[in-house]
Amino acid sequence: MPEAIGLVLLLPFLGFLINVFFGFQLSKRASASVACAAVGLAFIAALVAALTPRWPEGAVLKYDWTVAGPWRISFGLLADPLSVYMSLIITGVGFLIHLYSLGYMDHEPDYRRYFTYMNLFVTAMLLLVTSDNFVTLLVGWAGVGLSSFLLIGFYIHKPSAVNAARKAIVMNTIGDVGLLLGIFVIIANTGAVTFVGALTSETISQGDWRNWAALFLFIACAAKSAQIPLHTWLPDAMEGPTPVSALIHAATMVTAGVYLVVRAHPIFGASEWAAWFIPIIGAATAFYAATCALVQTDLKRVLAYSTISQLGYMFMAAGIAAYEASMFHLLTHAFFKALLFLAAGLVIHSLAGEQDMRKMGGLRKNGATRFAATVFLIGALAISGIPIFSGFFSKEAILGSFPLLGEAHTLTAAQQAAGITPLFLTIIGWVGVVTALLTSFYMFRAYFLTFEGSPRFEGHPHANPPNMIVPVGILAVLATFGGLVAFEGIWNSLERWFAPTIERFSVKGKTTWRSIEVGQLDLIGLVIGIGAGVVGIGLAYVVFMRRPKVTLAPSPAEPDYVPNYFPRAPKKEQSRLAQERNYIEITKAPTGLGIGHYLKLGFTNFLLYGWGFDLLYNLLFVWPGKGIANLIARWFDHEIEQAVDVGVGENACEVSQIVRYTETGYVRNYALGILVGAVAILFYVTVVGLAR
Amino acid sequence: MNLLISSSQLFQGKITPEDLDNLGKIEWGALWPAWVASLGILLILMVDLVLPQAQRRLLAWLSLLVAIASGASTFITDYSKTPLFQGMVAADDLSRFMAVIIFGTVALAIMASPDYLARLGIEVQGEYYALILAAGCGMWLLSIATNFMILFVALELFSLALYILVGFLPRSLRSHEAGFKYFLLSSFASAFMLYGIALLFGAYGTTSYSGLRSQLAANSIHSQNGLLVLIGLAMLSVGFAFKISAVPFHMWTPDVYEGAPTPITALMAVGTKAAIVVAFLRVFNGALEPIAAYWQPILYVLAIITMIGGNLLAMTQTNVKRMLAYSAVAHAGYILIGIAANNPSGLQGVLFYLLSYSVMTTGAFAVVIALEGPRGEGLEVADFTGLGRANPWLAAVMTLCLLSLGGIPPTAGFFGKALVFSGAVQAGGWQLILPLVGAVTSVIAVFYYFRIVVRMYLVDSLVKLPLARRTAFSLGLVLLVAGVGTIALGLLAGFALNWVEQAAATVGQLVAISK
Repeated sequence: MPEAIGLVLLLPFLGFLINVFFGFQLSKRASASVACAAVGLAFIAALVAALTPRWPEGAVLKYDWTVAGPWRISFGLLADPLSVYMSLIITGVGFLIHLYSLGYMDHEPDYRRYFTYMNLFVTAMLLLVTSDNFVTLLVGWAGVGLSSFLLIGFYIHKPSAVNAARKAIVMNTIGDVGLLLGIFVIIANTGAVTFVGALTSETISQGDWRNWAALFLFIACAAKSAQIPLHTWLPDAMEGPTPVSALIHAATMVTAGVYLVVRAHPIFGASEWAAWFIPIIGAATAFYAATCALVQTDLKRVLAYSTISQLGYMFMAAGIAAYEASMFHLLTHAFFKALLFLAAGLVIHSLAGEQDMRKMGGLRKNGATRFAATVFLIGALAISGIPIFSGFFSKEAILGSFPLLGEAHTLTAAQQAAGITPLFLTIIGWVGVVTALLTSFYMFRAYFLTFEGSPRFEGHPHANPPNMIVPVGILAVLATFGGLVAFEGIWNSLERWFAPTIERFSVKGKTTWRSIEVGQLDLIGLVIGIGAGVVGIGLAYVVFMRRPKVTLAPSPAEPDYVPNYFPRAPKKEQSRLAQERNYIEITKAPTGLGIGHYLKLGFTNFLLYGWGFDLLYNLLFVWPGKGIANLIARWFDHEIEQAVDVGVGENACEVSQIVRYTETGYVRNYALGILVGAVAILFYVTVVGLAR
Repeated sequence: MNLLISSSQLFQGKITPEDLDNLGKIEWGALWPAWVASLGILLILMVDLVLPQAQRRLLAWLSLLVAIASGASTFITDYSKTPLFQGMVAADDLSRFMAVIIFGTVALAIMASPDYLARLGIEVQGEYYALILAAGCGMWLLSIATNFMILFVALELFSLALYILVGFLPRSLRSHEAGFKYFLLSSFASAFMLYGIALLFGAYGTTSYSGLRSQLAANSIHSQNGLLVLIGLAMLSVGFAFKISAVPFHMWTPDVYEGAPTPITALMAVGTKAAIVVAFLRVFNGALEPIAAYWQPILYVLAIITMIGGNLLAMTQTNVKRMLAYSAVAHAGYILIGIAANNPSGLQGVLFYLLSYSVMTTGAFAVVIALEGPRGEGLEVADFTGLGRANPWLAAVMTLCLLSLGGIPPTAGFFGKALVFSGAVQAGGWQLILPLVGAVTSVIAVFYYFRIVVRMYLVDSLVKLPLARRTAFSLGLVLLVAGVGTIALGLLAGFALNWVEQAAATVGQLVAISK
């Protein structure tokens, strides 16, 4: 029943409204139950919508809305395989994370505010994916940006969180402007705002406008999905509560960009520019973020960079029209990344808020965190692409879409027009392979530092409540077996699933949609893919378990950080624990170290601070902007303020005071007013009458 | 009535056998709302006699029922879109639209009353509700009139009811003064209007809109009757400008709005204005359409000085009722833009404006009613200080309504203004000045609306918390309807727009059908 999509959207919105308007009258439990029930029921509704025998032709639940004459915007919900697929992920993973939040946020004073924002987010995200036109998509797009802003800055008394929230909204607003411009281009050239109208229009097969539309839309995608160069907000967004990171900054919101590329694939697939810049930006981001994740010390920052990197994979695939592989990876990534975040949350919760991996270690052997260690390991294996686990299938699907060994590869029309050669795709593919190696390395580095080795934490980890354990358990099962939806025999199930969407959005019976093909997964490809994962894990084991000379830099979050991370050489008689502590403690840099050490130090810091993008943006935009703002504040604002305040406001008030004298309260004066008016009008008509 | 029509037609020597057949034919079905309301008035007055004092509160619910039934009965009426009663009244989509607005407003005013009257210690209630219904009935008849006779009778019907209602507060000198002022000035203005009607009758020998229109279209204004028509037009303009409270005919407005019981103020601000605006449309954009070039300049000037004057005067008011009164004056200016535009877009804008204006103004006055004390306290802007904390719901509705009055999207008020302005822009030429003035004065308006919002939320509430009275159930309903309506009309403007489009189309249509 596709109409159930209306319920999918309505239920979280109702939950949000109830919490906004009656939240303060509800008990803490009741408020959270409303929020969880709303998302849970929405998931059931999404299932009902998914079980439709036939997908409807047009939008369901349409409503025409207009203020500008004949040009109407129809608010409609699109119940097609793509939007239902996204809705299932959002409500399903969202429900599990809502459940998890019950326990994780239990000690927070602003419990209700948290759940209100969460429901707002789910509503906005669902609006984004179920909208049947670009305008309401934009509403949802801005709505998720807003709720992300609210949730990153959830700890309103923490300056770093507030700053991170501000950074996120600024970056996302750049994207929103891009989206708006893209929509303008699309409307101007196709005259339609609905997806069906705009994306299947006749004009889509020619013209330069597709390039501009793709470029503008991609700015939005890059901002929302944290691609270079608009990625800097995502690592900082980890200031929000961990379930928020899991839901918004890993599983759902950041995939909105991938969704838009896939949704608007007739435009992206037909654009020659997009054929170049999407794979390049995707691969560059994937590689860049993986290198940054190598040296992070904050557990959540590792995962954040890892998210950016995985999103890069999705764009790589989407950029060469392998939309199905991209959507498949989006699904499995939602499972395993949410799992990793929630497992990290279990650890953080057990250690009373500690996020620094240098102050963890040996947690697998602790009863309270053994479960977390197991599920984190599952997540790490999944993201490394080890067979059986879900990530294996989706990563192979993406890498398999590239001609890794230079084999024959059919290019799309746009790629041919853009002059792309198979060699280019081979290079991009190999960047993906190298990134896969880096991925398994940094992920197991995080695993070994956190859960293996000897304990470096303080105090006693406390156990987690069952309402946190259960959702993580479910996600662990999904992260393990979620990839089987595309396994032998049902391998092409995704193609069957997406077929109605492909059909509807094909222009003149042609589509650029590239399905996952079994034949692409030949033995060599499998060996390369699995090999990259295994080698990465092995390297991590060698570096961090066999020779645990951990080189760790302090977290960038520490403001008074002095880059002197090389510890004193440990003395032989010290205990192993003390030795490791020594490695970690920030001590004075030993004198007499060669230039090699400083190079290494510099390089580590380079990676740690994300290749200095923040510094660059500060130099280019923030500081000049502040300077100009200060100048304006000092020289112009004061004058203008005077002019506006004294000029407009006071003068208007003075005039008002004078005019008020007409209000005497005497009827005779009022009648005089009427008389004056009447005489004036009579005078006018007499003049007109005589002049006619 | 029949006599008048036939005599005027005899005067023209144009009587046909069909007209004779139609004589004495009464289309009962077309006036359901008026019948229901009138019967309801009689019923209430009788029930008032037999009900014991303690149960008089039931009267409010009874009259609410009557008001809702009157409004709802318009949907069972079969409107043939032809003028009925020999061209005396119109039965078209606009009539239905107005029945909903006017009886809806009447219902809201009734719901806001019982708690208010009890608080002010007023015991007599039967006639209060009967008079409100009589006023509503008169307003509706005014808005469906297609003959100057009906126009004038309806005008007097609701005016007489309102004179009494405005002075209804027994121990309030201010209320009595307001009632008397309203009576004197309104009579003065009615005289102008009557004189105008007489002159037009003198010129063409007809009091029906359609007759007037066909005469104007057929006979050039350059004929000898021309001056008579123009002076009649001037006199009519004065009458209408007074009723719609355009500057400089507005001076009664603040005094009367301030003195009247607040539910009556709301009724006058919304219902009366809506009725008079639609009558304005039917007369000016309908009957006088052929000489639009002559009356448009009058309306331009009126609109400009009304927008400027109303908003400027509202700025320095400290009494909320007076401020809302001046804001009503200013809104009359915006409505005049749409009337002056004299094109479909402007007419639709006016009707949508009325719809949005009724919900947002009712909401603002309902908040005032909720806060008003027994001796007229709680009416100053300063009394709203800290309302956001003392009663967040009231503050929320007030904020919403003020945002809408200021024309901030996505509330109803924004679309009303946008449509009216777009009407003027489409008309082009000199009319482009009107939206410009409108935009500038809207900024001034936001200044005084936001003064209340700032008081409610931002000023430290240690000074004085408003009376945190429990809002009565019926008043709560009014607030709910107003708040939801303000948002819904903005977000779901499409539904209303379709309706408004149909209704606006009939303003010109009416005349075309009846010759």
